[in-house]
Amino acid sequence: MQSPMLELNTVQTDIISSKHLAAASGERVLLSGPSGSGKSYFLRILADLVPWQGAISLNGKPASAIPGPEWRQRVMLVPSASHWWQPLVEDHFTHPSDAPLEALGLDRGILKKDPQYLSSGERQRLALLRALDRKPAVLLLDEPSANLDPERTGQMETLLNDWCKKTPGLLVMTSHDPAQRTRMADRLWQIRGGQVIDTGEHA
Amino acid sequence: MNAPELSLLDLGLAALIVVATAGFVRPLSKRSANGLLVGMARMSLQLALIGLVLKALFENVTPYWVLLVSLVMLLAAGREVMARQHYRRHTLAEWRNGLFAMAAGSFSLTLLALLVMIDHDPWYHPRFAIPFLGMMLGNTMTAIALTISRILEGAHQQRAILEERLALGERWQDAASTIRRDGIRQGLIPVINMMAASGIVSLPGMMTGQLLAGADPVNAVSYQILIILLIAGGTTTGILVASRLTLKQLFDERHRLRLDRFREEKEQ
Repeated sequence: MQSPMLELNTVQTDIISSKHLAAASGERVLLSGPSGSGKSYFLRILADLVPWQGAISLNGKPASAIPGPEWRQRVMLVPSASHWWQPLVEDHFTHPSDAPLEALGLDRGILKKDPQYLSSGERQRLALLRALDRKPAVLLLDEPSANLDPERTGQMETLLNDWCKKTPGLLVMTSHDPAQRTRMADRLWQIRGGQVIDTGEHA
Repeated sequence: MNAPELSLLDLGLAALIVVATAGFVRPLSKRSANGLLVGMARMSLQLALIGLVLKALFENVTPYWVLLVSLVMLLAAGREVMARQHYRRHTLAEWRNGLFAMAAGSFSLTLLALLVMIDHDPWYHPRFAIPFLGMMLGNTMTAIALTISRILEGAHQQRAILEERLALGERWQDAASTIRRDGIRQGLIPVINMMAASGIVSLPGMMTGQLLAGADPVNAVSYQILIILLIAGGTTTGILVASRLTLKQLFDERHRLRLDRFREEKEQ
């Protein structure tokens, strides 16, 4: 593997731990584990939203050397349910005109809408675009296609694959869909008994 | 002209009304009903005690006694602010923040009033110092308690939004701006209402007291305006300090939301 973009060494919280994990830019990591095993929680650790012990680094730089907000701008979490706090969708974007809405089957008019009147599927796609708008290096996606039909899911996967290759970015995502795992995983991380391990399987 | 003296029977009748209203509130909220009754008992006892303390202070005017009584008042106000919160940390920092905010709001402006505006000799005479400080503390205490409680409740209710804003790389100061604004607004409502209603709907307590004691109405009005202006300045200062310190406790140095530090006080 080329030098890792994201690297973890004996990361530990009360609920979950991991020994050594590493992933390179351009890779798509799939995080799996039964419901309630702590997948979402582990993504929150990677985003430094909950306290943890150990060492996590981005491009060789430890998280402790990077202020929290800056870390999260680079290692960005998109939770499974998105929240919106401004009156219009576009108010949540830094560059709304650059958002590739069409790639996800969304109409540009949606930018002028009030987020609370959108469907969960629309909000889920917009949440991904809102994160990409901030130009992260690592994307942490929690069930990104849970509310999408197969066609929309395909569009989203194409967009994510392009982003991964071109940026090049690192994608860490959870999914309950076995087919999606086969399609999207370059690397598999699995949670077993509170421990996150690299299964060594590669697609 | 002095006000007619009140008998114990007069006070007892007024107390009976509070007991009766507490009886109506009890089926709706046992905690509030108990609060009313305990509050009534405490208030009567505390006022009787401060009457005795003031009598002693007036007979023996020294700055040390005035300072001591002021500190006791401040500590009591600090305890009140925290006791009114639904979400608590039970740490020294929590207590210190309330005290600091209140001291910033009330002590500084009371000193200003005593030294510059009233300019009595000696300036620390308890006849001015204690009532002024009492009014300042009472009002800032209410305002600070409201602000802190609105901020803590807001953070718990809007937890998901706060976390999402942090996840998008916002600093806590930006992510919590709405919550801070709501807290400040909530804390300022009483003082803004008081200023709007003064003289039209209500005659404020201090002025009423002076009038009852037979003071000149114009002088009573001047004092009342002074104290309301000081209260407005003091509560605003206290609220600004309290909101900042409360928010700082909600987040850690990595700008993570730390609601795990707080515990919810359950209603019995």
